[in-house]
Amino acid sequence: MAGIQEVYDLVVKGKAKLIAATVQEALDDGCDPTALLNDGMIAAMDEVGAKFKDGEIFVPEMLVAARAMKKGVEVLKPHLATGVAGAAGKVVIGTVAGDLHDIGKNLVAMMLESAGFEVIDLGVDVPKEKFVEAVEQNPGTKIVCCSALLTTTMPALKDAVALLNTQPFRSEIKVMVGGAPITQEFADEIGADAYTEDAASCAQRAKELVA
Amino acid sequence: MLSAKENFFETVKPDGHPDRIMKQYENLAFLNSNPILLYIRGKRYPGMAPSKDKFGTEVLWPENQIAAMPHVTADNKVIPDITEWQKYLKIPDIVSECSDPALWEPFIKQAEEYRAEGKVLMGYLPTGLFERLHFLMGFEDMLMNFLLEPEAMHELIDAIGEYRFQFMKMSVDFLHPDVIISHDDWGSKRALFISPDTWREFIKPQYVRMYKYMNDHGVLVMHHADSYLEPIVDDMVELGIDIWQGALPENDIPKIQKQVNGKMTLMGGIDASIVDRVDSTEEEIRRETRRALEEYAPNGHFIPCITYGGPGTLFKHVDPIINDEIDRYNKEVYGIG
Repeated sequence: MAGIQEVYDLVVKGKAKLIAATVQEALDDGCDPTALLNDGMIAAMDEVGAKFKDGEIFVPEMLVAARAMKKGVEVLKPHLATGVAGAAGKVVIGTVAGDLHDIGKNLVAMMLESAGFEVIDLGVDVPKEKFVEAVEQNPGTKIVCCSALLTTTMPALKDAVALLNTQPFRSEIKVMVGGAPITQEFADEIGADAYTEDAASCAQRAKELVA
Repeated sequence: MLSAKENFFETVKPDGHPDRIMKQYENLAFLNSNPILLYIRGKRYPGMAPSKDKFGTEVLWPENQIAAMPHVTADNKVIPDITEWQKYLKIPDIVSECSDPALWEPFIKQAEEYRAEGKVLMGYLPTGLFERLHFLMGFEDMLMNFLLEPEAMHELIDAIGEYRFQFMKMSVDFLHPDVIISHDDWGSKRALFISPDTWREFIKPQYVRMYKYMNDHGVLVMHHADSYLEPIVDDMVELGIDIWQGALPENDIPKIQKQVNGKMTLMGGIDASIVDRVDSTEEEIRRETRRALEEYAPNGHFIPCITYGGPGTLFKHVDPIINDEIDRYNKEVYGIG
């Protein structure tokens, strides 16, 4: 009988080809869909994130696990009550104005999705006003993540956070920042709520921030 | 006092005796254009319309950006399916297109002029194997394909490796540089992008032949990677890398210096996020440069430098202060400056 543990193991091992059938089998056997999502898939990605942080695995293994989870969620989604997928909350994410780099931002978005967030990805070269608009257009947004890869775009990151900090909705959201030149000190200086070093840590910290 | 050129070679030699610390890319003439680059990339400039390189990768250089960069999306990626890469990709034939000596003449002349001025000639091999892979299929596809489609990845890597070998060989044979800076970023500032085992299986073998040819022809290998590479530094020495340019301070540089014991010079160590900012102060720049000098220079085989893959900081006020601080250090420690 397939169950939560089997789904969990398949996500950790990144077995995208096997997971759909296993999730279906678990559902047929009466497994609770929400438990399959939370205790099977999201919990598995927590382990994957922890292994990444410890240097036990690398980004490819993390990506393959996230891909397996995505395949599993496709099967699960029709069985979940509205709003259960993405129940951790909405996250608006983007690379700041003048910066076209998206590798790190995409990895963060993927890990946030795997942690149960609904991600609204604004892409790259995002003007500061777009972050504000996105929050306004997506009621219930809990986190805004802004990324900058270059020292030349650190001022744009600062401007984006400054604008977010003046908004009436500011007390309802958390602002996270990241990117190669960004440090905790810089994050504090510009008034962000959190900085993390990598995608797995970001997902973990995001969960703590909205808990 | 050694000339700047002599001092460079003494710094890099395993048993060398430099008389002072080099100032970043001091006296290195950067040969950053050649017929192959012009053929592959075309003319690039800020504000140009989006273009495609000879591999088919879309390249953007908007007015407000410091450099051109690949723009790979789900819709425009050159290789949407690695198992059919040959259907989508034709490797540019640089041997046929770029071997005419007449094409190289102006670049050879320029190199000779630099040599006559006492400069060290630094050839240029941008876009490493790993980088080319993600330019062709996007970063996420590339990383997953190492695990999911290893056979097809090996085939593609062999083809790109051969292209890049020919690029290097023609650069060596036509220009006879003293050193070539070869770019390939293999990690973020905290970790390798792929496991050391995956790197050893897919990436390292292509560099064995390439760097051996350079070693055998008296060309120093300067590998640029502003990455965390601690787990593979012994491999880098084995590959014949003479200088690791871009050694980020996130690496334990003193430990690596001890480990490689002069067989590879570390170039970098200065934290760009501290010094190369629009609002960085002279005091901050001097403090970070001095930190790098005091922590790494006494161990030898160290060239303090910004960690970028070519000369020059992004903000104009930064470089002169870094260099002046190195001058001050040289005067205090070696009595030269």
